[in-house]
Amino acid sequence: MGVCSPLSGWGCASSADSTLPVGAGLAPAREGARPSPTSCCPVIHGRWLRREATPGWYRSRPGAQGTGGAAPVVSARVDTPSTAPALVASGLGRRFGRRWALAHVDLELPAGGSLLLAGPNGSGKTTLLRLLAGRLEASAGTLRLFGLDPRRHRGTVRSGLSMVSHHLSLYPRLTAAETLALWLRLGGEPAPAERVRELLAEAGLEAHGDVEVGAYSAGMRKRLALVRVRIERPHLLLLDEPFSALDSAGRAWLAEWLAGLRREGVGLVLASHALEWSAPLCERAVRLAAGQVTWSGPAAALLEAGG
Amino acid sequence: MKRGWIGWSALAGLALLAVGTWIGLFVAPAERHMGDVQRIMYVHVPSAWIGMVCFTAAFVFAIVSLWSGRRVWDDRLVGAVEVGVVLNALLLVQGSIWGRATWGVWWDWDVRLTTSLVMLLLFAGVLALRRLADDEGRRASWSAVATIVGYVDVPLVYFCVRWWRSLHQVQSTPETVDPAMVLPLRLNAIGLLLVAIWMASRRARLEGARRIAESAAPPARVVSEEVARA
Amino acid sequence: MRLARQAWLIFRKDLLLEWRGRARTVSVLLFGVVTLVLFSFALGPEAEPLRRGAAGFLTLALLLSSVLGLNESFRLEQEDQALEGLLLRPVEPTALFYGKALGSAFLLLLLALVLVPAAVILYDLSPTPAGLLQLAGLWALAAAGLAAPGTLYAAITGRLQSQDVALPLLLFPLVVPVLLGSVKAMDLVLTGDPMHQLRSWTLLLAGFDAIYWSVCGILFPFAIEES
Repeated sequence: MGVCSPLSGWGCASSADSTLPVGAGLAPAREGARPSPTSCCPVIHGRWLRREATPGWYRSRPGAQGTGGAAPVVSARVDTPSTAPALVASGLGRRFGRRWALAHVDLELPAGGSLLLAGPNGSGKTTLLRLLAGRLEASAGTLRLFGLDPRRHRGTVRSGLSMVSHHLSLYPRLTAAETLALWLRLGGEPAPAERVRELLAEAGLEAHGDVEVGAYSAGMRKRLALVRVRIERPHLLLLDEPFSALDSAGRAWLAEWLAGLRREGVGLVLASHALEWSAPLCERAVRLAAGQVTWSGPAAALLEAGG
Repeated sequence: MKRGWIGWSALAGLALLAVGTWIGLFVAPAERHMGDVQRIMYVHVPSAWIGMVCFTAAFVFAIVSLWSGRRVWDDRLVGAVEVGVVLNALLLVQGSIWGRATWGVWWDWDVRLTTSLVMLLLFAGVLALRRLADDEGRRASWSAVATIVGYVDVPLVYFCVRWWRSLHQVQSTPETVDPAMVLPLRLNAIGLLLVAIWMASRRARLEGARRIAESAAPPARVVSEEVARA
Repeated sequence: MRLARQAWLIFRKDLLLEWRGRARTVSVLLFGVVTLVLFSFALGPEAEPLRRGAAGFLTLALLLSSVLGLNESFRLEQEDQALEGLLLRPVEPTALFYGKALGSAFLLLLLALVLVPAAVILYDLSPTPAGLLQLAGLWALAAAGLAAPGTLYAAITGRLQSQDVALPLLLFPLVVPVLLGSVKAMDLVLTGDPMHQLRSWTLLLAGFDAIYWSVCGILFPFAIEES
């Protein structure tokens, strides 16, 4: 897997590879290029990946080695079940006092699948993501993540999830290198300097690794928070407006980076206003309004309809 | 039905309190050293006992509330803590009056009085915390945590204050009670217990009603447009 | 052990952040000294009452400074919702508790380095070297006794609007045993211990610490999780 950073130009080092179909989730939808609904086709990407020398930390995801065919089986961790659907929500609702921020939400996401949450501000996208992350408990309905009840199996479910929200959960007084090293060690892994450098390079921050995060621009902080996700190796990634606070080069980097994650079989739930960037990354989409699902269908259809 | 049972037993409790107080005030003998002032014991000691019972119940409810997550246990917790706080406050007032009459001072850092004061502050703090928390779920778990920690603290405070005071004179609260005084004491204790149970359960029901009034049913389900997979 | 490792990492992270933001830590230390000075003004310039009350003043200065330190410990986590990130890593809430409580206890221990010399000067104390060592030990026990319930309540009140008033309101009645034990024991060290009570008071403080550190650790996950 090539190192993707804005510095190496648009896309990964392998973008010259002609086996990649145009619009396979790597670029924002250009006029005339219609992304196929199954844009994250494992067969092609599996073949593509087998060509690259995969770093050690990719090997934890057997699907990424190119088993091809069916959706990649993610079985990295012993504890988190791999073939169960990533997410099953039924009648999910959340109340704050009298106000139902979310109600009657039914969702289903297969392992490795991707879902776009669209809708105006205040429609409940952030609440839904926080519910999925287990940081809120549902007031109504049921939720199963990886086939498990997030309240009963908190640790297991959380180890399979990652979330990057508006708040990036960074410590302003730590440097980027220290942040990544801390994250590695919290998971019980060693934090050798090369590993940290590798991660910094992926985010395009290797020149600023020893600067306190508080001095970073918003875009740099976002990239650091996203690259931290690599350390967590989630089965499901939850993102709340990831394209905000990024300039167009940053957005291109992010789209590429997310596409890479999808190829590895990481599931994605993405809440975004930036449909032209986010819709190509996702198979399905739902539109929320006033806390309820008003539309669901393929992400491409949503994009066509204009959001 | 359960509701009726508690109400009737509360009336019986009031009757017991009336009888017990009458006996205590007029029939039981006066204490040797303190005279008639000692008769305040017939409300003071039951207040102390039943206050402790209330807080113990609150402790149990707090544990169940955290364990089960069901809000009804939080309602019961509120009932028990509030009745306990009221009894505790009354206890302090009675103790102060008694102290004034026997020792000449309104406050003397007596072991039990001091412990009661700290206990009052602890559980009043739980009630204050409830006011400050806006979210229902947080309110329930935080009240339970504060109640458990506070309750565990009470014996520690008691022993600590006792050691703290050990060089000072031991107060003249009677440890052994004349048999003639036991009857009104027990009557009052049982009576107060029944009344306290009734008050706590009413308060719990009130809290439950308030909780439901503050919430709302979910809105009607909106029909969603489903576009088939391509 | 995973819990211990994560707690240690959190502790180290907190120390590093405290060091980087040490202007704030220095302010807390100065606040402690100011408190000691204020007690002198409250009691008058006579040396004898000040000497007799020294243990109490030291303990109170520790208590009042602790509130500032404890609030700070969680403010660090609130800044960018860093706490959420930690919990989702996932970090065991219990590990988070012990890491943060250790960090707070360490900060309170630092206070001793500043406050004890200040008290010795202001209140004209003359402790023996052995006495100073005993004071250090007692201070450690008192700091631990404040840090554990303080961390639990700081986690709760940190989320409230009125956090600066709520934390002392909840914490101070709770730590009355630590307060009494610390004052009594330090007083015995500073003014003499004719009846050899120091050992029992020290054991009392240690017992409180053991109870608080276990009970608060068990309850912390309930305080920190949304529901």
